Amino acid sequence: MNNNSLLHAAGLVLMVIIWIVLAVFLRNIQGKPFPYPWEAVMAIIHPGEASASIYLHMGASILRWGAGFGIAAILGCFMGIAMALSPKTGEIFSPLVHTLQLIPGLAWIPISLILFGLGNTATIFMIAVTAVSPVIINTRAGIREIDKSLIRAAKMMELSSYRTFFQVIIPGAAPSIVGGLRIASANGFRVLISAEMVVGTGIGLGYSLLQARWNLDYEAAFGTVIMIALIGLIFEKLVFYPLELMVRNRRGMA
Amino acid sequence: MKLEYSAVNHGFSGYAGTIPAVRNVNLSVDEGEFVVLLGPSGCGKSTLLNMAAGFIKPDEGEVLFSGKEIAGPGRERALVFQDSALMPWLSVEENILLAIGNRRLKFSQKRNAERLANEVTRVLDVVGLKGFNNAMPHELSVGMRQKVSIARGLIMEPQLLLMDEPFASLDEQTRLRLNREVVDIWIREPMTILFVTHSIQEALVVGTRIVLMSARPGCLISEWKLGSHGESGAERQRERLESSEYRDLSLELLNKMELCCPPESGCSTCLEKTR
Ligand SMILES: Nc1ncnc2c1ncn2[C@@H]1O[C@H](COP(=O)(O)OP(=O)(O)OP(=O)(O)O)[C@@H](O)[C@H]1O
Ligand SMILES: [Mg+2]
Repeated sequence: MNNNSLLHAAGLVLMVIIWIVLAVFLRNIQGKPFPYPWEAVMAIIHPGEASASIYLHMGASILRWGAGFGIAAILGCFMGIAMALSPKTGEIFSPLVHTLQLIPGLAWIPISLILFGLGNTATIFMIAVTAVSPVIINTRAGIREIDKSLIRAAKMMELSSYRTFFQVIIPGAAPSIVGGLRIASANGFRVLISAEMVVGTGIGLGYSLLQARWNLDYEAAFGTVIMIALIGLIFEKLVFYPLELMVRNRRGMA
Repeated sequence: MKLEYSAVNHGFSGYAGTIPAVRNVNLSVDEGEFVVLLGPSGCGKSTLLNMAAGFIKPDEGEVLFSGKEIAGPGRERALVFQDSALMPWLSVEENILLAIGNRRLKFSQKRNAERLANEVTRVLDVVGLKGFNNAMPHELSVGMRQKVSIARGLIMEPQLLLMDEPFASLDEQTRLRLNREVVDIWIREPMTILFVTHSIQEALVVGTRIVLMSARPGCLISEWKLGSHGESGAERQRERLESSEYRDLSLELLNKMELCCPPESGCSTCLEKTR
């Protein structure tokens, strides 16, 4: 554990070193205004007067992502469970879900603009619609792949259907469901940033990135990218890592 | 409390068409018996056991328990699975408690909790896993997992305990030890056991009767009554492994297992012999 944290930190340091070397090279030899890491960080702390604070952008983005991902998670779990428990439902929706998975998030821009116009709802829709299919697919697969003899054991013990569902089926499918949520969260996050660049309404990390480009404010642009990465990292460490530990370690999966 | 197979036929349809799995099986297991079903791999032993457990309905014939046709799985017929089938996310204790979860609500909460804890301790003691309440299944050896699976069966207080090659994946030493322990459990806890194995030695050291099955499609070739030797599993095992009578029987079983029912001749020959 501790060793791994050290290695992770070493990776980060290495990345910063590469960045600095790259910046030195690009600035001095090619004359490009490539910012140093500290300049990007300063841009986060002291944004230009014209732009809203990076924290506002961040808050708006996280809210949108949370809403879109939340919808996808709830809807996806329900759909996945329904499709696994009722084979007919599964077969009806399976082509739909697999097709949905192939559509890149940005392809939804025209549709979401027609449906919702510019703004929050359009962004949230795009996040939800790209995040929902991995949740459905993994939930369904997780339930269908539960060891048949565990289901038989539940029948032998005459567990009520309530107990079978909550104490056998859901925990049995949990590792796969968590995996699906993880993919969904990443998909949603990526779409979020792009969507904000197109259908956003003056606030959000994606919008801030775009604004920095217009202003030729490279420090701010890099700062925003750092924030985006940081949010992803924090989510990974605070939400999915513990969740995964919970469902995998307890049953001895590495 | 009798288990009866009468004129049972069953086949499975799959990619290779419909394959007959068991043919014309007639078998009755009386209360308190410890019957061993011996046969080569793929002969339909699990199929027969799953019928008794209520997971499979025979295509033809019927399987009766206490005179009634078996309609589905039931707590009075516990099954110890070939692969133990413990919930990997539950501790040993939680796995065992799951088997009596349905009875939980009938008692007042606190007295109930105490009673349940005592019961878990008791069955873990019976299978020799005292103190392993909080271990997770993946922390146990295969043999220990099978013991937990047996404990889970015992706590259901079944009338019939069905065991599907419970020790097939163990080394011979461990298997012989667990064989002794199963006999001890059977001596202590009054119940009927139907025990499936493909090992002649295992068949010889545990039960009170051996029923030999032919290769697929399985039919019953012949049976041998062994009588209940010994006051304990250890005694029974020693007596049987040492006696020349059992050595002869072992050879006979081996010959029958190999000679009877070559696949091309079908089953008709041995059916007539049994009749
Ligand atoms: N679900 C199934 N679908 C198709 N065929 C099956 C199925 N289950 C069993 N069979 C067939 O029925 C036959 C008997 O299977 P069964 O599992 O009862 O054998 P077994 O005696 O328990 O074998 P083993 O000792 O390997 O466990 C096998 O030869 C197999 O081909
Ligand atoms: Mg089998």
